[in-house]
This record gives sequence, C-alpha cells and structure tokens, in this order.
Amino acid sequence: MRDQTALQGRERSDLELIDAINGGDDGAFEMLYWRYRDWVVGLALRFTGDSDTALDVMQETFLYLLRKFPGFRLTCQFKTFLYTPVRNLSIAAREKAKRCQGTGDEIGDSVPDAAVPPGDESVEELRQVLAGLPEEQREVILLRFVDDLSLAEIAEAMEIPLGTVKSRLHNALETLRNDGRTREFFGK
Amino acid sequence: MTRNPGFASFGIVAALSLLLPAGLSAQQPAAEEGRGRFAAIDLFVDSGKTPLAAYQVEFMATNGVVQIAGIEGGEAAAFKEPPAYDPKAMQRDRVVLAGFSTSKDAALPSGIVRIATVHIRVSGDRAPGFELRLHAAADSTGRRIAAKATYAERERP
Amino acid sequence: MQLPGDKCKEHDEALRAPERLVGALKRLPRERVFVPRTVDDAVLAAARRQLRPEAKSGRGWWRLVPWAVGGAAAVIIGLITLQPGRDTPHDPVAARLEDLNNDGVLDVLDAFALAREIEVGVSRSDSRDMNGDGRTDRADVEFLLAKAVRLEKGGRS
Repeated sequence: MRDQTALQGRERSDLELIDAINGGDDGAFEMLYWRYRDWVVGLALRFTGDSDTALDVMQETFLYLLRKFPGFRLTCQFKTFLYTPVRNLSIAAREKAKRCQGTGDEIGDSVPDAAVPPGDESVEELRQVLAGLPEEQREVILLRFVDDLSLAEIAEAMEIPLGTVKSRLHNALETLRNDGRTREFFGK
Repeated sequence: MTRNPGFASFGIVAALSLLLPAGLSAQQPAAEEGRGRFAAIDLFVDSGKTPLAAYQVEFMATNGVVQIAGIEGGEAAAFKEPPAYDPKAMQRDRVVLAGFSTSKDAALPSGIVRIATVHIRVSGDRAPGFELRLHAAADSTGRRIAAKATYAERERP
Repeated sequence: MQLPGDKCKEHDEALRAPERLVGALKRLPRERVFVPRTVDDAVLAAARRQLRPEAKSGRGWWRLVPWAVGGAAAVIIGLITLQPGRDTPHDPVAARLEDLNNDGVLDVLDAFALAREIEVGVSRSDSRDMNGDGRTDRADVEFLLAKAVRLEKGGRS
C-alpha cells in the first residue's frame, strides 16, 4: 500500500504522476506537462527547424499522450517514450509544410543557429562540425550527450538495434576526434 | 390574490439569463478554435532619431481566420517585458498594446524598434490580412512624436 | 591474451566522450521557443475535460444549470448597476482626472505621465489616486494602462 505521507515534501516521480493520471488526476498531468513541455518543444525545434511548427508538434504530442489515459503503462524513461511521437509528428508537420510551401527541406535533427556567446568560438566550431555530420549520427550524439539518454534508451526511442546506435555514435565521435576544429576536445 | 414579488424578480433574472448567453455567443471569435498553424507577427515602431519612451498600437486581423494566441515583449531592453494588453484579446483577432519606459534617453531605443511580437493561430488555407494602427508614440518627456508603425510576419525556414 | 570481454570494453571506451566535449555540447546555443499561454491553456483544458470523472459522467450538474445561470445573471446585473461612479465608462469627471496630459484622450501617455511623476515624487495623492485605494503608486499607473488598452472602448477614451 502506498504511503501517502512519504509523497509529501518531495517531487513525485514520472511513474507516480502517471499512476495518478490513470486515476483521473488532471493536476498530475499538469505537473508532467510543465516538467517536459520545454524539452519537447526544444526537441521538436531540432527536428523541424521552425518554432511555429515546433509549437504545433508540442501541442499534438501532449494531446497524443492524453489519449493514452486511462490505462497507460510507462515501461521506459519518459523522454524515451516521448521521443518517437515528437519525431513522427515533426516529420508529418514538415511533410505538410512541404506540400503547402513546395520546399525541398528534409527533416533532420539540426543544430540550432542561435548566436554563440562571445569568447566561446570552440562551441561555434563544434556546431559547424556537427552540422556537417550525417543526420543519423548527429541525432545519436545529441540524444546521448545533450538529452542524456542511455544507448539502450536511444535504441528504443529511434527503434533501431543497439548495435546500430553504437556504430553511429562511434563514427560521429571519430569524425569529431579527427576534425581539426574539434580535435582539441579530445586533447590530454 | 396576492402577488409574490420574489417570483417576479426571479422571472426577470431568469429571462435575462436566457438572453445573456445568446448575446455573449454572438461575440465568439470569428476564427475556428482548435487546429491551425501558428505564426509570429513582429510589430515595429520607427521613431527616427528620437529615443522612443512610450507607444500604443492597435493590431487586428482583417479576414476572420486569425486568433491571437500570445504576446511577447520586444528586443530593446526598454521594451523587453510583454506590453500591457486586455486579456480578453486572447483568442480574438484584435488587440491594443501599450508600453513605456521611464529610462533616460541613453537607454532608450530609436529608429526601427521591434516593440512586441504577436503570436497568432491561423485556421484554414486563406492567407491572413492584418492592420496596425499607431495610437501614440512619445519621447522621454511624454511629448508625442511623429512615428510610424509597421509589422512583418516572421519567416518560416 | 585478449579475453572476450576486453573487446567489448575497448568498444565501450570508444563510445565515451571527453568531459570537455560533453560540456561544449551542452553549451550549444538553443533557441528558446516562446510558448503562448493559450497553447498551455488548450492542452491543460483538454486534460481536465478528459480526466475529471464528473466532467465525463454529465450527471447531476444539469440540475445546477438554472441556478448557476440565474445567479450569474444576478451578479452581472448587480455589477452593472452598483458600480461606483469613478469606474463608470461615461463618468466625465473620472475621464477628466484620468487624462493627465490633457490631450482629450486616455491612452498610454497618461499612464506614462503618472509613472514619471511617481518616479520623481511629485504626484499629489488626491487627484492622482486613480483606483480609489487612498494611495498614489504603481497600482494607479497599472489602472490607467489597463483602461488605455481595454478593447470595448477601442483603447481610447
């Protein structure tokens, strides 16, 4: 039996919130929304490259999540679960935009073009090298080291074998190690 | 036969309560709620060489396919905070924005200044039309100055 | 001699990134997306509709509708008829007091004028107490600003 007093005074885990949402607690859904909203919209922006489309994708993602209740069971990290709908909805949104605007842009996990703080030129060079990586390698690097997903979680999120994740990550790191602009990060 | 004034009052209130919702529903926004694409409209005031200390503008969509979703502040430090607006403007297609700064001239922007951004939702495929009117622009002494208000939809990559 | 586990260990080592690289990756600039309040409200309203049991069942609340509507109507009528004179839209005395720069129009410039007066400490409490709370302060500036951007009057007095 759950000890309700133990829940007071500390933040509820994702599993506890999902449990509560399954019981009809819309306040718990609201907590989950605030906890992950900015991450979802940032991920959608990486995929779509457009803040307005990212907003659409974020809204659709949470409505998609809402439709899973009651009866939703979380069997992985919540970010891992959210990754797939964000990616798929981003693809759909970009396809729709292409049909309307006739652009030939491909969806990809892009590196945002926001200004690098002065004095941080190495980060700008890293951004340039990352932008030159194949999209699937860049996606793995960002998920692993920016979003802190484990290799197994990345495999589950991207729906590819673990071996493929390792191979893409290895190749991406090799490129960064060998490129003159980012070699310094691997220095002694 | 005695009359009960309580029933008469209730009757008036009940009758009015039936009329009021009908009146309110006539004020529903023209644009369809729910689905649609988001867009951001940047609003600018050009005060020329004079530092801009206060402004008031009226922004409206003109062809019934737009709902206002949010208001964001401008780019200069003096107008970074979101401007004042009527909360009833949310989900409608017209809003009046006003902002000011009591900073000294050196800290005020001049020239073409992005004073705010209006985030909108556009329903359907029809291209939205907009109108922007400048109600007031003033320098740091509160004196009205000649200025021009313009808008531009942020480009989608 | 190389044990089977050694190759795995070697491979895993090759998948680790140096701390400096991880730090730089985390410092990559991220464009901050402004999320309009109406987007948050729409998602959370959908959650309330779906998750609250009383909203789903639809039973019982129907009986309260006539009372709720009648009560709301009574409140609205009361507010319209009992509003103090200062806040009545057509009160010419209040409008004159609020037009601080005497230009015949209530807009942002009046709020700006009061803000400047408060900042330098020259406001006289009686005639500058716009919201009737007995003090002249930032709340009076907000009061004027809210009136200036109100949609019903089109933002102008």
